[in-house]
Amino acid sequence: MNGLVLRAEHSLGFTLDAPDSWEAVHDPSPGVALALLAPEAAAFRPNVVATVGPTTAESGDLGAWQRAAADGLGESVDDFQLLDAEVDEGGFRQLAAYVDAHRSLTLEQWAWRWQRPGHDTLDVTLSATVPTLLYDVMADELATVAASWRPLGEAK
Amino acid sequence: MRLNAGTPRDGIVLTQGRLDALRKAPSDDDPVATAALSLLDDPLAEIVVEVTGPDGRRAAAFALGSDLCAVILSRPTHDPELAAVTPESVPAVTARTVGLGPAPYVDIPPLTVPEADIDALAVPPPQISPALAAHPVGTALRVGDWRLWRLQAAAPSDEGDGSALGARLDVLGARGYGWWVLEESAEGVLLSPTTATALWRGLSGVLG
Repeated sequence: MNGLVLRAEHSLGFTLDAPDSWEAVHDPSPGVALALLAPEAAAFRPNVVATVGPTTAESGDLGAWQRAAADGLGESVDDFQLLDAEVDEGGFRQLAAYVDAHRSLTLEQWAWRWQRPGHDTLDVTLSATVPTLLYDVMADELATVAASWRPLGEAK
Repeated sequence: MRLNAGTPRDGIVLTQGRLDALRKAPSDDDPVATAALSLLDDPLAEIVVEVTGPDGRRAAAFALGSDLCAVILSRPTHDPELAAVTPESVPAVTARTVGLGPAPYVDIPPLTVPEADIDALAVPPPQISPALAAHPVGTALRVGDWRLWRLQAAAPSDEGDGSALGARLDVLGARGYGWWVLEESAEGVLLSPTTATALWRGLSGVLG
């Protein structure tokens, strides 16, 4: 389990692992399947949020999907800066900075299409958010949590 | 003046002599400006990033305090501007100043060039040496909105003996083309490919 001992299982049929000190919140808001919350640091709880929903037209073209996701963020948050983005055959990853409630935050996102055997295809987005000054020290841990995502039945 | 999170706004334009005048007679009714001016004289740490690009030179000079950071922003054809930002905004302000953005990782071995090749980019009009032109960074230099940036951070050490702790980050590249970290070596300057994510980690780690 990559050293992660908290396993959160969601009824949509996937699991995410996190360190034992983290908290899992299921279905915290419409459209958000799972939120994994780290202990408070710098008056903020760094987190990884899983959003799972029906496929969209954009997600059929990963480059267009990434650009649409960045554009959407740019319209919905303050001081958005797209810092990095990469697209491969499996999905995309992007890194951005923005401001919320007078805090400078860093957002890292991973997204892909999830073909569920016997079910419809879904779009999955994992969004990790952390105060910017903590990004360097937490980036590897956040990426490890994101990489632990597994369809139920394939979890190691 | 107001304390900004993220992009500096509502700063004071520093026309000729304005900074000296403000230092001699700070406003009584602008506590943020007063704190920013005080930090310029007695910061906990200082970070300066100087940037050269095809459109000229720009810079951001930060004087850091515990709750506020004074920054003087310089850009081509404008008077410098003094503004106040939260300390955790420094990486984002720096990223905007240097034009950090997505670019492919150019997976080729590092290149060493004479230091004069890099210096020739920093002095207008920029000159692209044959060695740089023949390297993938040459494409960024010819057609990209390239940036050469040099960041230096300094803070007094805990020893109390007047010594200072420092960090330095020199980078060349362009959004959409690639980023290279520059390191001095006995043979010249080593250009090593990197990613925007690694550079952002470096910026967040300078204060983190």
